[in-house]
Amino acid sequence: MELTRYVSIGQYLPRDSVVHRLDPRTKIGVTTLLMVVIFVITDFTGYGLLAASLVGLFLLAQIPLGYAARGLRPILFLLLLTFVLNLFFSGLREGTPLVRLGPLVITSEALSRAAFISLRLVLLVVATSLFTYTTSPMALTDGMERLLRPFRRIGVPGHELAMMMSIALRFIPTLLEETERIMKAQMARGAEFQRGNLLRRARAMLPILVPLFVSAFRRADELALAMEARAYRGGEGRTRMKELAFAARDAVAWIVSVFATAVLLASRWLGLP
Amino acid sequence: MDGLDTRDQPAVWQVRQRVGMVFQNPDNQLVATVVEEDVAFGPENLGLPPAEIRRRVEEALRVVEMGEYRHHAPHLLSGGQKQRVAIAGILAMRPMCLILDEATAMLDPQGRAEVLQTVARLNREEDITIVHITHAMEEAALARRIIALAAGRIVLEGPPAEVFEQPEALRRLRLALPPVAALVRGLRAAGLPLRGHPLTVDQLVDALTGLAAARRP
Repeated sequence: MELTRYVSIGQYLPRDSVVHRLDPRTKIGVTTLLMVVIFVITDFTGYGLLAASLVGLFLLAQIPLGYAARGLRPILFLLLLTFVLNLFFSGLREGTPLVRLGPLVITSEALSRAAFISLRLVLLVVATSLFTYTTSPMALTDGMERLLRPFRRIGVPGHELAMMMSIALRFIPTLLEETERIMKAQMARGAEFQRGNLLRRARAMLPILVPLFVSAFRRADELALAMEARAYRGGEGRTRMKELAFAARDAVAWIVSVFATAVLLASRWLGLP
Repeated sequence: MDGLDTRDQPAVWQVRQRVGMVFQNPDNQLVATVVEEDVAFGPENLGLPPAEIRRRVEEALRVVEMGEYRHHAPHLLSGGQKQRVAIAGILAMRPMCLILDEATAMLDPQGRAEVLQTVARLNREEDITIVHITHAMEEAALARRIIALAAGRIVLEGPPAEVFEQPEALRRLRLALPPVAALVRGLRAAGLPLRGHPLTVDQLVDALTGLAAARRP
């Protein structure tokens, strides 16, 4: 039971690629545009093109494609549910009926719709996981902090949010290791996590969650002490080792993605081919 | 501390620049997900210019011999390596004094040796005062001065040679002699006239060969 091996969302894979070196603000922007594009596209051809360009980006970022699939594992159930629900209850009555299961009818329309929605979900997750694979949490929080800076005047605590997020990301592997340790300790004392119905399994999680929370609070306390001992006192008067700076590659990324999005939006709403 | 009173609230931030602390659990003191960014955390808090931070990070990582791990994630390092990263994070703030609060307690023997060697070198080469809080007497034996505390009061103080001459007082504090000192005591009780206060294996070997040489006609 190696939890750390199964959870890959939000994990950074250090490589020396152009994508990694992009300014985090660029990557946040481009990823946002990608989200928009994913929701705007309404046909399979579009998704095919998008998938192809995502594959290209993975190659460019030197991230093995297997990692894209790994990011999908946690949402496998959701994916299946979405597919099944859309298959049977999409409300699309027209189209050729393919299969009849009593009152349930699967039409060709519903099938393509279900496949499309599932594909949309897959693309969303793959696009965001590319972002997290190539952006170190520190860079991500730096980017966020910088993007939120203009909103500080209206009371958005950008630095605090960014720091919270980076610490959360830093402790994901640590807490996963801890969960594993607690589970093994409870199993050594006869606890069972794999048996019984859903309710029983949920109840079995309790002896894991309680010690986990206690330990997380203790860790938080010690971390706060260690941070203060290193002269941390919030964002005021703090400088950064790596100052964010836009480079030529950022300009290229912005131009390409804005242009592509604009073309897509134009063709969508102006009815261009 | 350096003319500053640690009880004086406004001075606390200045004290924190001059005194670095390394804590017991290496996992709970690393802030960043990449080694070099963690080392940069302290100097960033001091508001130093980026180039200066970069220079200090390189130097601190070199001193603790973790330079090749600069892009690693802390959770993939061993305990001793994490503690050395934590020490580098402190060094980058250029403190005058480094306090290790049971910093070796959670480490395996190898990690412990790594940390102790690093700290000894810092003391020797970088001229940094080391305050090492520990229950391990063989580590205490490496110090120049030992202070034993009980319930917040100093109960024993002096160089290791002196402190470890008082096994009764140590026993009352529920502390044991370091292994070598215990061995020396046993040898003396058995009638071997060992001279000096050997506290490490090397010193003991010297004392024994000295004794053997003196006995040889």
